[in-house]
Amino acid sequence: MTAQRAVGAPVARRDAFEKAVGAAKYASDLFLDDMLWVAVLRSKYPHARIRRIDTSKAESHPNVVAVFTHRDVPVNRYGLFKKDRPVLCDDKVRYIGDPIALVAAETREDALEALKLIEVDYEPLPPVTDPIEAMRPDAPKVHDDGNICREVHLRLGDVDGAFARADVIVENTYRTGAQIHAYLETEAGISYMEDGKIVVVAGGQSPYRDRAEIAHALNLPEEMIRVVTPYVGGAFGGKDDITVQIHLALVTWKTGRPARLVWSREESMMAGTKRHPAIIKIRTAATRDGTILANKIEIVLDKGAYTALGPAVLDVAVENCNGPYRVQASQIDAYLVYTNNMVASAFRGFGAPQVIFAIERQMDLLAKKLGMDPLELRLKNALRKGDRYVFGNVLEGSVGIAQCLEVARSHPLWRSRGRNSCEWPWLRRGVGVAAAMKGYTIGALPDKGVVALELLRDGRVLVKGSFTEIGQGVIQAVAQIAADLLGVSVDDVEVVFADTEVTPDTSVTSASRQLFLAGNAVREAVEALRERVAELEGRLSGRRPARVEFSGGWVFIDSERRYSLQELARLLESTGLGRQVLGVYEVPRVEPLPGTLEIPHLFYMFGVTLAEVLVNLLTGEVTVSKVVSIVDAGRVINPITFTGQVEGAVAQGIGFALMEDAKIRDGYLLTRDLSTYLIPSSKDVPEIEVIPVETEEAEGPFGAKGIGEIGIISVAPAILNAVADATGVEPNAIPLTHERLYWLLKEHGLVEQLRRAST
Amino acid sequence: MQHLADVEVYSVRTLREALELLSSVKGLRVIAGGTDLIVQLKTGVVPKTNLLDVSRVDELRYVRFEDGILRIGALTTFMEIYRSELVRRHAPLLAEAAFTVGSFQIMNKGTIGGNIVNASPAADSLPPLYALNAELKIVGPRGERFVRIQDFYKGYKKLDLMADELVAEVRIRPPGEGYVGHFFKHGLRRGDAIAVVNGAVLLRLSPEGIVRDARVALGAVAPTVVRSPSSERVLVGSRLSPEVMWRAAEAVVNDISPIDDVRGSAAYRRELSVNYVFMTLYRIARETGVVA
Repeated sequence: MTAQRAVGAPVARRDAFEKAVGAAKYASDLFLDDMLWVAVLRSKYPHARIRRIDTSKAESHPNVVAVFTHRDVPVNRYGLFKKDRPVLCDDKVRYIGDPIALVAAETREDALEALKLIEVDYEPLPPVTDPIEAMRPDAPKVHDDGNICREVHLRLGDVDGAFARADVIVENTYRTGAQIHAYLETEAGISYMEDGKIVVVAGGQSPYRDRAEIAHALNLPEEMIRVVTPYVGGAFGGKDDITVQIHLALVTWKTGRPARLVWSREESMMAGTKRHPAIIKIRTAATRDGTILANKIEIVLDKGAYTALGPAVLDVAVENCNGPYRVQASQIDAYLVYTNNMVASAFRGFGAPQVIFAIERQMDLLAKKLGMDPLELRLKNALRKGDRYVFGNVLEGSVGIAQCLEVARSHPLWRSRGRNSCEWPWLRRGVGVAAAMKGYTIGALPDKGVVALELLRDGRVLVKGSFTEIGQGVIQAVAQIAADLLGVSVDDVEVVFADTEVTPDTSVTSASRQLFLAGNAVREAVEALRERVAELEGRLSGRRPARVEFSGGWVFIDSERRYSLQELARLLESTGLGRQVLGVYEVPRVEPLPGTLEIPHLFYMFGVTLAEVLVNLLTGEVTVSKVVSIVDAGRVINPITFTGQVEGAVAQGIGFALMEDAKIRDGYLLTRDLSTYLIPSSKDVPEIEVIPVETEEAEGPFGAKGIGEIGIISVAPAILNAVADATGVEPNAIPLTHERLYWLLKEHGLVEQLRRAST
Repeated sequence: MQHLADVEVYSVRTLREALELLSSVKGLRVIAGGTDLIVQLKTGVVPKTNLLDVSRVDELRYVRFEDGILRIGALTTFMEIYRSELVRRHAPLLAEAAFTVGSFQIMNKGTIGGNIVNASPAADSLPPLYALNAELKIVGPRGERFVRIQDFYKGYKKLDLMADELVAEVRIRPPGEGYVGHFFKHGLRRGDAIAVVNGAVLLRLSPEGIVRDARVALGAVAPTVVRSPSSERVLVGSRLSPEVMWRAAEAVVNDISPIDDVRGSAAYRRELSVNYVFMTLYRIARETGVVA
């Protein structure tokens, strides 16, 4: 048993100080000598044929060095699931942010000015912007092969039988909006040539995958490209796909000069990906005592113009749409539909926030119909470890949903439900609950992570991995795990991250699993080091030791001999065995269910949110006054970063629920800046109480499990359930803006009722 | 996005220098805090022009109470107004509004003169100034003149201000004993949001709870900030009962002409105007003991 000191300790992040004082460098902080400024010409129309592009005037602008169009791109299609996205548009534009040309100039001003000199002859085409309309056979086609990007149809268990013997049936339609990531740092990067290689330093979530996409588009071997991901000022899935990387590499490759491309906020809002808007219809069959028998669920996701990560998002939506409940049968029909809206792709929760919003509103509406307490209804149906889930998979990992619900049930906030006196006659108080689940890891898709562990000559340890530091605190957590496995202080662990030249491929930082992946790979690396010590000892003493243990800066061999790590490093080097080992971790998985890509997962996250709201009947304003987030966190590696992660997720969930309203009309984005697209400010985020329920994830490093996404997933339904509790009105679409709720309240006579009561 | 690197900026330290430059250099636009103007220049809402930077004209930064009049220099920031004991005592409505204009950063940069001259119908400082019957001191090469705030706006962003003149001071005669009122604002979030509707209600109540004077001002619901004479007429002479409050609130629709925009529909703005005037009247009634 290894002594644990760093794991579980609230150690301050190693990047905290430099970030707090502004010394940390993000991609957008980097400037190079003799650097070209790149600007992107973007489509004016949501859907148009390109007849002609004339760049001659822009090219003759005095400070313009080069102008690029599709003619300059060797392989003009990229994308992770389907190579359908043009680097620079050729035949058509399919959404208003679609890139058409690049200008590289001596100054930013020159680049922006030259954009205006490029003439594009468009033939506007009718856009299709409603996913339901886009599914009709006569709808305008976004791509030649039709508007349905992907569909999934599953028939699980005896659905018809369940509906035939149901005592109650509840049916509702739910809608969720196009949330924008709105990170502090927009999409940004620089590029330059070094030793004959193109180097791209940019915000991202996977340097190796970005490198593969660049190499494909430029038709170059991957070894000719180096991708570095410095600190990233927020990603949330929005930097999972390519943003600036190919454009930068193209400019540097063609001109030989360093280049810089940083998207403006407006550009980020338009050309950056969004959360898939969803329309979800659920029909639930249940017995009188509240046992859920079956759900018939139809999901339509608005893909926008290109595939991006949509197919996997659809799978996650399908996998989680029944919620964390013992559902015996389900019929699921899910569609991913192209439109001429902006591109949707990964966003924290990755399909789960949409379907969990729907099923968790549905649970409250079912409870209402049954006359049951909504929390008891959830608890009655909650999954337990060892249960067979609706896809036939047995839940062998940790399943903490029932414990989370029990914590919620005894929480003072839940017990205060119904005590609703308010300061003003127009205010109503309510408390809501919602549960969440989501698989972490990438499920049935193959997934492998590698880290390198180097024993430094001074006895310190260096961990190298391509995980990206997107604000979540992974480098500190990896250091804590390595420290305890090797019995050294956390300050004696150095971490180098996200550089294809120096770090091995630790796969993508996404799906709430980077710590799980990297942590397990570190564990494997420590095993490899142990093996190497055994080999060393075999060489030195002629006898392989039975036990090698790391503790207190020493390695102990069969309790006979010990070396300091400094001595060990010297011996490994002088014997030629080498001071560096690799740890390879392949995520356990099962084969995917036919018709799906990644269903089922072996590992799931669970959580419960309690929300207290005040609703103003005369304005429709919902004030969230308290949130309790209860998370099945496995073993918590670092309580400070854990709490920070969950608090951030709650804030983002409040935005998703109430205010983040990307207004899109006929494919045009009306809310193009942060004064019209509002995200919660510090005054809009209340006290958040984060409660970890520490179950043990046997497969996880030190029992840890994923936590990056779970905190956002049940926030919106908890808030809307609280609004329903407060007012009796049942809103089923988000964002529930003031105006939307106001009209709903008015329609239900609450405004008039208040007036009558007061006069 | 327009770049502003080639804009000429004339920076002055005294009012006299400022007025001289305004008269001698054509096409100058005055910049104080720049919280509106810089954004407008960058997005091209305002054509690119050379600037006269008055932000360091310290003689226009003050809050004074002299001869029974509260005087606020045009370059006084919203933070200074919010923190001023004099403003809190003599024009508490304006202190309330100053706190809602934006973040602390905006409050530290933005000036009352800038807010007035920018002339947004949603400007937070204006409804209190309308309710307080504020007056502006305008200075120019022909000397100084005084204009009532209501008369300063001739239409949407149309001002009674010549190209060579500057707004130098806001003057408020404290309404006196027995007046009680509040500013209100509806933004789409709690922190840092532009008003969908804002306004101010200022009443003088007799000890018996009868309204002796009523001033109701609303913003973001017409090309300029407006007073609502219809609402004021319902209030004056009446006891502040819930029935009267609702009637007075509903009367505001006669005096507003809201439009649809990205922040809200005209219909919603109309409802908000009514409901906020009701809520504010109710609040005043409760604070003065007229209702429980």
